[in-house]
Amino acid sequence: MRKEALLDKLSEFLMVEQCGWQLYQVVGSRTQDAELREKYAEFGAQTDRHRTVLIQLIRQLGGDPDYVSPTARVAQVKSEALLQSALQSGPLSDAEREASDLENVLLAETKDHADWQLLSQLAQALPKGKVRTALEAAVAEVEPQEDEHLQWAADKLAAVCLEALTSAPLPERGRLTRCVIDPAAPMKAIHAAPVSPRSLLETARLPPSQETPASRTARSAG
Amino acid sequence: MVSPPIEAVTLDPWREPGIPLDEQYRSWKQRVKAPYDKHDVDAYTRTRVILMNGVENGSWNFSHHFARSTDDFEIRSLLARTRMVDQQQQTTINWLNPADQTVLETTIAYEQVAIDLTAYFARNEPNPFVREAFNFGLLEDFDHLYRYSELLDYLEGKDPNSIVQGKTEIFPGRPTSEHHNDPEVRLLRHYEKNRAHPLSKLHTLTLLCGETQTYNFYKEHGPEYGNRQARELYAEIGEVEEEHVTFYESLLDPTETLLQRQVMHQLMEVYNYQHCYAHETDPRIRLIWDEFLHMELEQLQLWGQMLLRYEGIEPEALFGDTLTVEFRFEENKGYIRKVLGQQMDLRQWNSQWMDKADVSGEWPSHRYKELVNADGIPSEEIVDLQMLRQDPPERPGEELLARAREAALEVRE
Repeated sequence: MRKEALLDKLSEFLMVEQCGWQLYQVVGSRTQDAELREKYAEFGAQTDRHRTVLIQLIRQLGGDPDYVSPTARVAQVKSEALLQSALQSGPLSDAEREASDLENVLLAETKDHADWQLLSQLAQALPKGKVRTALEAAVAEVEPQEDEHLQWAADKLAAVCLEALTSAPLPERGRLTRCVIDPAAPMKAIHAAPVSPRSLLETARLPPSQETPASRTARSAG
Repeated sequence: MVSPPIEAVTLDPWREPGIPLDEQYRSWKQRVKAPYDKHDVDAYTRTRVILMNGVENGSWNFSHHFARSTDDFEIRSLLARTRMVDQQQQTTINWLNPADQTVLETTIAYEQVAIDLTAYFARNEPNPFVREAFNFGLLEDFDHLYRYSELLDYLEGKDPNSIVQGKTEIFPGRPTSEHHNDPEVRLLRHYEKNRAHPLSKLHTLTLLCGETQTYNFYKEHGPEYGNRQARELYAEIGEVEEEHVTFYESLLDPTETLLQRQVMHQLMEVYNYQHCYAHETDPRIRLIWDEFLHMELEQLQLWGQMLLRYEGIEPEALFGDTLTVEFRFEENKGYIRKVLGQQMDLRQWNSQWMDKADVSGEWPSHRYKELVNADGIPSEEIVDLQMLRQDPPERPGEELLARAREAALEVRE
């Protein structure tokens, strides 16, 4: 095993835990649901502990926990993109926003889970020694919790979405006019002065393959 | 004159009480204040006015960019409200410039800002790579000051030292004719947001606002001159300012989120108002810095809370608990001479610096320079025009400019 490659990977996993912890802080402070708030707090505290476990592991292997590997940097961008999605959630109803946060948790936990699964597989593949012992101890403490986080997020999201699809009150229809998402948007409804084919300038009615007077002039000048 | 020893000011920007946001709007009469007297003003009061105008415009501009990238009502609402205050502050500051100060006189002061700001930052920049970028830009702005000084003498018959007051030397740097690069050449490798010293971020953002303002000023006022030489010199140096904006902005880590940048902009405003307040010699203008510092403290704290709510990041993580402000506008002559002696012949390529003798024929800027300099170089022509003048020096300052001119001709040869 190449130790430097492992330390780069651990830096990435540490970043995932760090961003996961931030995510739990954010969604925990935003949720209106007591059960979700409790779970976010519980899993957030466990994720905080996972950060510590990884920091210790990196130190045991002779690395610097402050080092940010290139893949850690990309992991951070991906995690922050989940948080950034809140900046675009203006038109969502409260229930949809809640589901969106939960979905972010599921996405984050999927990556987190895969990280610890990889560490578990790596520990099994390593020869006996200090590195294997350190990895095994970390995996033994964290992996069962990661299993639980992922499972809970998947189950809870499915339940919340099912409820929204079957029994929850319908979202307000008018809100759709706030963002154009209809693939065939009714132009007359959204455009105060719709342009009809008859009011277009002659050149605008030309088929795309045909040259316009300006392009002909440019070509002859060249 | 040697400046007194630097006294650093430390404040707790996250808790220091500010002015509540809903008490920050000002009436027309309150926000437009009497301008300074251009004959009487301290050169560094004028540079503070120019710098803070750039800082406010930079923040205003970024706030609009942010607003166009989000539809979260709370964020857009806070952006709209803080941005409205920013533009009111900008009015107060920029309107301090007097009507009888010509565009060229103001231009001389713009270059003085660029020089003494960049030199101080370079002297105190913790990141060696960023420091070298600052040094590189410094020698270019230093040369711009000299070229514009020739234009001031040529067009208005004025001594540029009446503006810089002997605090900044007027002498050729790396010749402006050499600043014209293939745009790609200017791109640098960026700092890494998790590892960079917070001061590097504040330095870079401040310089970026200053350079953007300079670009806008030259592009806006260059065409106001009827004289062809002036029009062309503004066009030439204006383009170098575009290169500088490209250059400094490439130092920013592109993975900084919009909210993180917003908080850094606010922190940068606090940083700059703090040194303005601490070192201002005009008591009337000092009161303005004091008021605006306390407006920005409030805005910073509001944005810090947003960062915590939306990204789970304690704002202190971006900079630490306290903000120590050491910067002040002061003379940097010795430092600039040293850098000039060592680095005048450096050129840039692939995020590195090399002696011009070592630049290969593949360097893309060869071609670009040939193209733009093909039928005359305004920054050299102004030197030639001044050389042709037969009248002996009459006013104080003319000898200094004549000596600088000789040096400029030597470099050309």
